[in-house]
Amino acid sequence: MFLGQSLVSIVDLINKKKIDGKEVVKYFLKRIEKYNSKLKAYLTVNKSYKTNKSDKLVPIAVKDNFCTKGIRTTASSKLLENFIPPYESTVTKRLIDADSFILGKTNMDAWAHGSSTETSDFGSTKNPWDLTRSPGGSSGGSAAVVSSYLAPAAIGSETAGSIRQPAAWSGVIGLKPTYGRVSRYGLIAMGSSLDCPGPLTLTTEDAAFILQIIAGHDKFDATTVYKKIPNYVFKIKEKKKFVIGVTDEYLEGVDEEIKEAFYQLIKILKKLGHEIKKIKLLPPKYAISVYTIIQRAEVSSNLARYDGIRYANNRTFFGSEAKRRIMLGTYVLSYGYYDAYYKKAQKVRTLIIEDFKKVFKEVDMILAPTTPITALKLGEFEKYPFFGEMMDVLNEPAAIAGLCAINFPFGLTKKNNLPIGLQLIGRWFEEENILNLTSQIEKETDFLGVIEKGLKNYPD
Amino acid sequence: MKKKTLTKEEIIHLAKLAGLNLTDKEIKKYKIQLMETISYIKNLNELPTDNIFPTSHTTAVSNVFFQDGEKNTRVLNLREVFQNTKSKEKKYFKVRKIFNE
Amino acid sequence: MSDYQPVIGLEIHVELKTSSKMFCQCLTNYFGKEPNTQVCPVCLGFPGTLPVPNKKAIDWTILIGKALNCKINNFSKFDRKHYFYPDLPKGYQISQYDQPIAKNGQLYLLIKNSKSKYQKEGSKLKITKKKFRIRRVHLEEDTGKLIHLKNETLVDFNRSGVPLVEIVTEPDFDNSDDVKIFLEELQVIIRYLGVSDADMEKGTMRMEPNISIISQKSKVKSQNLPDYKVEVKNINSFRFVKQAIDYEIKRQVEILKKGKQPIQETRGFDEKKGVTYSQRTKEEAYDYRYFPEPDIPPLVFNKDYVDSIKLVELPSQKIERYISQFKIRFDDAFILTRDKKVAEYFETIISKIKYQISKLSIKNQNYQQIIANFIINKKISTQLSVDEFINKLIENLKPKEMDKKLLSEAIDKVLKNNPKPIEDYKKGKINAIMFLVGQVMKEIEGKAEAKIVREEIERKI
Repeated sequence: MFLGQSLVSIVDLINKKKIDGKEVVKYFLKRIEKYNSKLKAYLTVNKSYKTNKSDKLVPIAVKDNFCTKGIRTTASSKLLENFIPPYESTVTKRLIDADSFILGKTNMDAWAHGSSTETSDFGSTKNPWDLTRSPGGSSGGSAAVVSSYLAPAAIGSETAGSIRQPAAWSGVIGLKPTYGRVSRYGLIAMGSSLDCPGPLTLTTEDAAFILQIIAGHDKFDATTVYKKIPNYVFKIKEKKKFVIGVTDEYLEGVDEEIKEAFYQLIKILKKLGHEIKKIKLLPPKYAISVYTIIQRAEVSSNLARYDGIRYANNRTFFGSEAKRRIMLGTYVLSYGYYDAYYKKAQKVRTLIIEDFKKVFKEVDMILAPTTPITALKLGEFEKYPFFGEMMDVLNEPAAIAGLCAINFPFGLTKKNNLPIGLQLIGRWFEEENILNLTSQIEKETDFLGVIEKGLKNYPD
Repeated sequence: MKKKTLTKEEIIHLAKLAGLNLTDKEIKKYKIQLMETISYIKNLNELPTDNIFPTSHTTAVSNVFFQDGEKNTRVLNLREVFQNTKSKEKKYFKVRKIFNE
Repeated sequence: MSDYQPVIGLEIHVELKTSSKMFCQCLTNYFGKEPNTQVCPVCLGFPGTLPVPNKKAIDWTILIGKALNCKINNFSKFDRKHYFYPDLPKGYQISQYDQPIAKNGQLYLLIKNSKSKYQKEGSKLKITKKKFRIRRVHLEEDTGKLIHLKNETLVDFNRSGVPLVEIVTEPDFDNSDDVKIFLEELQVIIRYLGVSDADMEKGTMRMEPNISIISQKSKVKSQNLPDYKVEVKNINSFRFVKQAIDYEIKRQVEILKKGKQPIQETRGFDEKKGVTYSQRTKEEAYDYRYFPEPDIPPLVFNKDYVDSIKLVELPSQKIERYISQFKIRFDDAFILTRDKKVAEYFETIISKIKYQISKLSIKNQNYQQIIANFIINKKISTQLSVDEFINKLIENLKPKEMDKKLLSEAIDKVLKNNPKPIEDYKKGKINAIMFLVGQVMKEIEGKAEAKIVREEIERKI
């Protein structure tokens, strides 16, 4: 075992019996003991590996909104502080069936409401690159865990940006699969028509590997599709050339250094033989409204089941962000306002989808920055009533349309030595393409050494 | 769209619908915050959508069913049913008395 | 009373007897089971759970829609209906709002001596065919059950998630008799379809009437519908339906007579006292914040799908067929068709007995009517197999061979004891003989044909 070893290579070693899974788990538990209190990336650490019958334990961290049977699941809310699910989510079941060991449950924005992990009722996770800053959110804990190698990989979830944005701020790879590609059964619902489970990893191959395991139709989730699952790990190695779209709309208001990184990558892609094409997309500001309305409406509905009777604490335990979102969601669905807000938002959603369909006739994928700015200082998010939605402006359109997308790190800012994240947005159910190009970029640039540099701060 | 301010009564009504007990301070806070958000999201009116169908699902699937009588692999035993609650009485969940309708 | 016309609409819920619940694989046969033993994370509304619809429940809803002559929508969907109540685990019920599975149907009832404005004056045994329109038929999930104790309320979720079909009629009823007939017919139809036990006592069929009164004065003001309505809940049997509605009509008329308007509200029915009582005011409809269920993709019912769901012959169709083909009386056809098994038994006998008609000595009589009589009057048990029934029938219809001597003795006895009828007969009162025939029949315990007895008496006199 060495620092920064990829999940795939660990699996390989375990399968070839070159190391014992239990030793691998112990390795990570030691690191967790060393660094977690500082980072607050894990809320719950699972030390039960000793009683585990298998010796093929491949450790993985899981965001705390996935129901893990017998392991406390809180969604970072005091309301679920002592909730122990009596059943397993499909994603974690598939991982366990593939010899995974759930190392622990990672911190997040409470109920996934946020883009900084600061709304967690148990305190925020710190950005491994700068402990005075946020790791992003809502999968901040998962991003921080991977960034500081407290697990070789982690599972997160994205409603609009919650995998990509913390991956960008924490300097790791974060994949949001197409909506319907991965089962949501057992994922504590936030935005039912938007939520996507996905991996956060240090290598592209790891992301492909995890997607392979968790993707696919689930009879317990009616929104999953029967589409064939390609062999992603194999597909990312194919030598393919793509037509990549870029648009000015997604550069508005973006930090200068991020823009520089973006242009730098374009040069490299051209060199590698890909075609860069200018495209036009609807301004993302409409996506903020669409997303705010639809997400908060679905949130207000999905949180209605928490009455404290059958499980958990009662509704007085909701934090202020949850209450705020429930209120707005109730408002847009209420009598007299449904047509003006919710229905209107669903119609604009159609426009956004049609917009992407049009663009994807000309290009295979879209390259853009993942976030307009790099990691904010802790506490800054309080300034905005819909902070999360504003921060995810570049992620919302793809999320609303249900497209797949991936963040990868591309350099550090000179100003603050913080990771820069860029993203590729791919066609529906064509994860293999965006993974493939990310893999090419990885081979060619090593992501400008970001991951290596980050790991140096967290020696064994 | 006509300019509209949310009244305190509307906030209280919404909170009731939402099953939330808000303090006076919270009512004031949310009133302001909701208004800010509402005024932003009105920008959707800039886009004409007269003959556009709303999208509820981004995947093109329909008619997803399960077959009646399929084996139930998810049934919970009594321990599992009640392991997360304190409000139980024998094999029932217990709540405050609801007056007969 | 004619100044005030009741306007009644019905909301009926039917619990489907599928094996599995509406959105999960838990069993639906909760009756008599230990509480909270037929539950899973889905029907308990645990975090992270998702609904997947039961195909049979959907097919059966289409079937009910077809039986009620509804249009089956090409596109349909589920919606979330939000409200808080301890028996509603998700804080919303998955139901259907603006695109139900079926809509705009009707049910025709054959009503005898209907007590309504449609009844013509002076007519006696009039059979009217009345149409009652069905507004919609939709599918939803049932809630858990509450048990109210002295100081607390208990919740059992075994029933949570059981498929429930809701049938809403237009307010076409104007009296409680029609309502009762409608409900009884609906119950028979549902049972014919085999989709539910539709038992009001067991709760597998529930109904709530909406009652208002429109006064002739407001009709003159060209208002065809009253501007309030009262919903009555907790009516647990057909017996009480009529009582509850009649009481409520009377109550509302009294209010209107005083120049006031009844409050729009929900009222309960007290079976012991036979009265309705106020529960909660429904001044404005509760805001359920319906929106399309994001966890369930839409339903598309193309022609092939709808055609594949086959109707059975319904009771009213059987009645019409029995009357036209078998020439039996309406009343008897009605009784025979109340239970599908009895109707089918009857039809099987009719079709099998065709080959043995000659064995029946029934010259010029309608053998189908005779069979109907035997079944209805329970002269031969319907528990017998069809063949056994037929054999017994043939035996029963054989002309009775009576010992001539015994008959003669009996006649003599009767004639001796009843001189007056003999005199009357001789005087020309031919019908006096019927009395004598009756007496002889009593004496011989019916063991001879009445015709033959009469002939013998006439001969003797």
